Amino acid sequence: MASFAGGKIYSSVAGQEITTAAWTQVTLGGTSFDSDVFASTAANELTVATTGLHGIIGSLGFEENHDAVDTLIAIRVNGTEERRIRFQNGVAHWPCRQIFVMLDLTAGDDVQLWVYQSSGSNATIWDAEAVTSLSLWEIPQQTFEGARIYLDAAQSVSTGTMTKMQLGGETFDVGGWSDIANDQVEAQKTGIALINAQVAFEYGIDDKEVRAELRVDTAALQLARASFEIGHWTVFNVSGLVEVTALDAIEFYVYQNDGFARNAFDGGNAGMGMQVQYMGTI
Amino acid sequence: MAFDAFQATFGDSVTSSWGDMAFGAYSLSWGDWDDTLGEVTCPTAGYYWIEFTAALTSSMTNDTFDTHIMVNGSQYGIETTSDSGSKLVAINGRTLAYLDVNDTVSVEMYTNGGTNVLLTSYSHLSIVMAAVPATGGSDFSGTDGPIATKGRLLGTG
Repeated sequence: MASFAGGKIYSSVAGQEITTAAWTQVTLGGTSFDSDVFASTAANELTVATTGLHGIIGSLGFEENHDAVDTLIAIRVNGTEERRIRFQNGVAHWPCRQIFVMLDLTAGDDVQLWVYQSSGSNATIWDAEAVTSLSLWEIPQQTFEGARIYLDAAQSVSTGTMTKMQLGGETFDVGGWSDIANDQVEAQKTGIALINAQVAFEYGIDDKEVRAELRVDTAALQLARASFEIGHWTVFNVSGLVEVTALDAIEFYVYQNDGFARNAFDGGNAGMGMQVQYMGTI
Repeated sequence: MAFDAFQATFGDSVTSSWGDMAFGAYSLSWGDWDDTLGEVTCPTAGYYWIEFTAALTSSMTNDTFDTHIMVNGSQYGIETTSDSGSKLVAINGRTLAYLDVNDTVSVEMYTNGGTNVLLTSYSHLSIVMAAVPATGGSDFSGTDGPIATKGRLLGTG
């Protein structure tokens, strides 16, 4: 069975303060998993073992209620910025977002997570494994296994209620991972899984909050929270590299607090949906 | 089995009409990807992660910035954001798709600000095969694979 090559580190110590209007490297002192040579928590970074293309997810949240705060999350390689996202929340309670990129890296490169915020005061990093983390992986040397499932009929999401998305449509399934009879993916092997899910509301849920959770065996292993100021539609992705055990249910939950029930967008591959890839044993 | 991947910067501006983003410099191209007018044609069937970042060079105020990953002209993933405070927003869309030979991938973008908005050099599209069997032999470990950094280098990215 093919082995996963990569690692994940996360914010494990409470109280890292991000000074307003200053770029800061995120402290990542905990190790979720490591295929032996990647994690370097002393330096808060992941070191590339083998030259080639890699996937990276940076995830970051604040323990603050940010409103109209300019926020940037960046992936740096050897201290130099390679990719960034920049957004302004409406009234997100403890906002949390991810950046997911593919980069061609050289053995020995150090991959880091940096953040900037301009709230006018210090902002505290949300020190939770499901929120603030950095993941790095090599392209797995194995046959692809995984599934893509999606919302196949409009689903009403009640205001203020975390709701499991009824993902009853299937685009592809390799290895029996799709479990659309139960609106979810079911892990067929133990190891590491790469998950991306798309939140999609056909409404501008302006100045309110939308939350997403990727749950494995009922535990929320990856969170995202966002609030749009002027929403045309409210769409964003939540991504995570997580450990799974064979037969674990992988579920997608969404929350909105617009004050009304809102229909999730059943747009096939463009709408609410989830993609899962098995990455190998750890 | 070859390992295929494509990565390029966008060399375009976003307008108030939906349109495919044209490419500028290439970071890499493993495999025979055909790109014209912002549309990339896949050379090898397989499962691919498609991700892009798009960062604006000028600000929006009370505007939205919407994007679609397109496969054969159909929306396959969406990412959108808005801004009320004159910020240079940057977003990151991603999706996992099966691409057949000659399937096309593009990214279309839209902003309702009324003026064209340029993308910065942080703005890239990557299409990377999600997994490669270890039996790929020399294609994987030698000239084309992710282990050896070789391939057609056409720009700085």
